[in-house]
Amino acid sequence: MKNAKLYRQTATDGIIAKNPVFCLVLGMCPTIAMTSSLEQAVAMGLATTFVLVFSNLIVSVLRKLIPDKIRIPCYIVIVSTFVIMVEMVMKKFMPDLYSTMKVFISLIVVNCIILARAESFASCHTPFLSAIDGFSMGIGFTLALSLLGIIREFITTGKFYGMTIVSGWPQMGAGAAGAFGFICVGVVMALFNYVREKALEPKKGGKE
Amino acid sequence: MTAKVKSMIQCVVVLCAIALCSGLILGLFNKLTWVDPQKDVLDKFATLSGTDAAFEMIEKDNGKTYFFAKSKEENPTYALYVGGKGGFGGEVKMYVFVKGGVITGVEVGENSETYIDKLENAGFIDAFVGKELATLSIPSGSDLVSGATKSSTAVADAMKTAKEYFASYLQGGNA
Repeated sequence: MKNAKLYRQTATDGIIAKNPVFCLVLGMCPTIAMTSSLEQAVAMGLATTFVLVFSNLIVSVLRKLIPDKIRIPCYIVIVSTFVIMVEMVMKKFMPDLYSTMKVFISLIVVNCIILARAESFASCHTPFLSAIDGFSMGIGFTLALSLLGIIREFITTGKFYGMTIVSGWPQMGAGAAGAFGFICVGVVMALFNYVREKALEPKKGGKE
Repeated sequence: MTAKVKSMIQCVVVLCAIALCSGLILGLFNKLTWVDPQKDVLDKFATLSGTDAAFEMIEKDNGKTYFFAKSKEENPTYALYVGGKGGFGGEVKMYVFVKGGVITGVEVGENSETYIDKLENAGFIDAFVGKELATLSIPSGSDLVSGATKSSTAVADAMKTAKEYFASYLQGGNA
């Protein structure tokens, strides 16, 4: 019973209660850079999810073998292995997408979400639970990026995933700029946390 | 052996073991997902040119001209993969196809631009098709697409590279 509750909580924490973008404010670099279109946002989110799941799993499996002094270099080697795998697969099967995301795929290695979860969760939990945490955080990250991608792509080009929604939409270059990305993240983050707090309020009232 | 030395040896062994395993896994993955860049470009040439013939490489890595090939036909189609500088996100690469000195096709390749579709909608890229490459007028100033000036500049620069390279190839008596 206790385990099931723990697994359920771990599986959902990353999506809402501890969303890495809107609650933990981690991974801001790819969040701003890769949300100018929905396609890029989804691809970045899924790539990060893959790396999160497997790096958490391997770090957890090796947690008792890795000495404390060299844990960070070991985590980075493990994370970079999976990032390079993602890069190779994208280069082979999705070359067009790969060519636009090249630099940012490599930067997944130093994405703070991955190192933070490896250090704070995977290194002190079982492999299965760590994998669930990685998946949950990854899905939360992907959903956050997708939401921002939808908003920014629509504002910039009037499109959704490359499909024109509003014909004759004025091209607004500012939507693709980093400054607008920050503004967008800030506004969506405020709304997300407001709605989250409101949703939690009745539960707090019940407990009192 | 002191505890400190043992601890150091343990750290080195663990790190080397992890690095070795990573290397072996990546080596295997590389073998499975290897993309031969030359074959990849030749396949792209065959797909984008509209001809049924295969292409053979003539030259590669000549400055901004990355690949130059021709189709295996009696009246060959020449294919260039060139780069143009000045784009908003850096270099814009273009596929240019030439048959009998006339441009038969132009496609956008690798780029980091966000307004390529603006150029396509304005007919900027298709405007090159059907013109003679040797006497091609390279657009500039008011000829560029408003609101996508940098992207248009990069595409124009790529066409200029194609024009200059092809002219030097012909001057070499290779036509």
